[in-house]
Amino acid sequence: MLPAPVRVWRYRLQPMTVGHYALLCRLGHPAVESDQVLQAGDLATAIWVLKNDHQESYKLLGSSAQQKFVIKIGKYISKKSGMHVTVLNDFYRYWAWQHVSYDIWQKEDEGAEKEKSMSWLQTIRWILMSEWGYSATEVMDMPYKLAVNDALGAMVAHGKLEFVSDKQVARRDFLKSKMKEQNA
Amino acid sequence: MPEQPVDLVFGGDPSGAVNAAKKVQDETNKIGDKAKVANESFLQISSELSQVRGKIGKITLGITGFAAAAYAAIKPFRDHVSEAEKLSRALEINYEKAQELIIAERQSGLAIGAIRSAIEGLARAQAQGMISRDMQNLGFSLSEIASLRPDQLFDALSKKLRDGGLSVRQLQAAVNILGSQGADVALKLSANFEHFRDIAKDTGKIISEEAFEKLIKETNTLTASLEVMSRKLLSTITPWQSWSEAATASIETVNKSLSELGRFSTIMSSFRLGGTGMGVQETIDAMTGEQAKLQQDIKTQAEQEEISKASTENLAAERGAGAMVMLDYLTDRMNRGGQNISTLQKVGLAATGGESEAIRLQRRQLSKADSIDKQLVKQTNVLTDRL
Repeated sequence: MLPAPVRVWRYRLQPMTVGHYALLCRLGHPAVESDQVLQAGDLATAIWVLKNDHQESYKLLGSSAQQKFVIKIGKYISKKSGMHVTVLNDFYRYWAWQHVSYDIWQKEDEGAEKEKSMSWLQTIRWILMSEWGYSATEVMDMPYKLAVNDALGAMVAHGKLEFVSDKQVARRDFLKSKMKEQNA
Repeated sequence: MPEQPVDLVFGGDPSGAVNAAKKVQDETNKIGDKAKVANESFLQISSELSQVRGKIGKITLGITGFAAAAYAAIKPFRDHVSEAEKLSRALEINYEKAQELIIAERQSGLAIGAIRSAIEGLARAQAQGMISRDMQNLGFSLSEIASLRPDQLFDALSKKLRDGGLSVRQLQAAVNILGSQGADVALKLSANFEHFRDIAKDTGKIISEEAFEKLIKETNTLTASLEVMSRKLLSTITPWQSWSEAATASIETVNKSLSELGRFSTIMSSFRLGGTGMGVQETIDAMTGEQAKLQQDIKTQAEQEEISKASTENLAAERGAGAMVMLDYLTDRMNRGGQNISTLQKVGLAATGGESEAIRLQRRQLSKADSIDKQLVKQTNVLTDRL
């Protein structure tokens, strides 16, 4: 496996699995759900979720130990000068390695094309289970990046998805604009 | 039997736990909003000047003392000038803009050199041109990437972030592009950096373009004068001929000599020193006699300083040139092999390390060869005319 940054500030995080990602989605965490800059509490929560095994995080979610951790670390990050930026820097470096996103999904999220029939996470799980024959637990234990790429690979192989080169996109746009001109 | 209402609780659903975790997260975020941002305080030139003025009043030393005091008096200006000059040379921007950026950088509490590394980072990313995903994530259009200079890109970015705020994707791209202080710079740009630039413009500390050029020359001459004079003084009134000799003399000898020589003020007023055995007045007389030679030395020293400054690399230009070569190379490969841009992106990213370095070196050698070539042509023309 390629070496990837796993240390965020003073914590050693686990590689992000589908289970971790699912938990962050369940929490509506801004790293997953929105484009906002992460606040101290968001960072502390993300660190707590990712520093444990995803099953353990799921089990201990909402416990007093978890709440104490988030409050203590969140306070420390927000009150110490420059600490917020340092932790953000580390976290985004970790996130850039562990997370992957494609424009196709972002477009759907923006609601530009059509309403989604299934959430992104459900889609991955469904594809991996139906096309690759993984069990639900195996999917949850998979590294998130690997899961996304395998799911996309399966979709391409079964003709559910097609990769289009930049050249093709440019040509399609050009043809569209020509058509518009002619119709006008 | 009447029906009993039954509450069904699904043990597997952690809604309560999720809500509790969310609540703690939100509450902790609120603490962050209240926290004060500690800005570093910076010494203003004016306050430094008043301190220096106070120091000068107390100075009662001889010529060497005066040289040190004069150096201390010009130090704030000299630092400001040389800092702005370095930035202007490195990024190929005018002196006024360089000063504006430096003052804004200090005022806004960014680390020294953060803006320079940010602009250099932009130049580096620009070298990847249209294939840089990070540049597109920062919100630059292809035409902007192709046509704007790195400092103009920085201005555009600053305005974009101020008006549109900072998204996670942009911050992530900023961390990748804007150097080691990337996140800091991006947050500052989205917050109030433009405000500090306005302040920098209003403070009146920005020296105009013409005055600045003059100031550089004057500063060089002054530094050179002090350098030459102190060197001369050293060789005249002490047994050592040069700084290196003085420095390499063992500490024991230096201590011994000093204990023999006594206090410096006494030396300045009455003692006859070293091999020459000259007093201060005689030293000054001797220096006045060699006025012409001294002037020549000062001029040479000033010129040397100018040359050494001019040899600072023009990183922006170098990188821009590298970018064009790399883009041509990639376009060519795309046309020949029918590859799509994503495959080339990998090639391009891999090539930005070693290959672009090689391209830069090659370009430098070519430009050297070019200038030699031009000189040869010129000389040949002169010869042809005469013949």
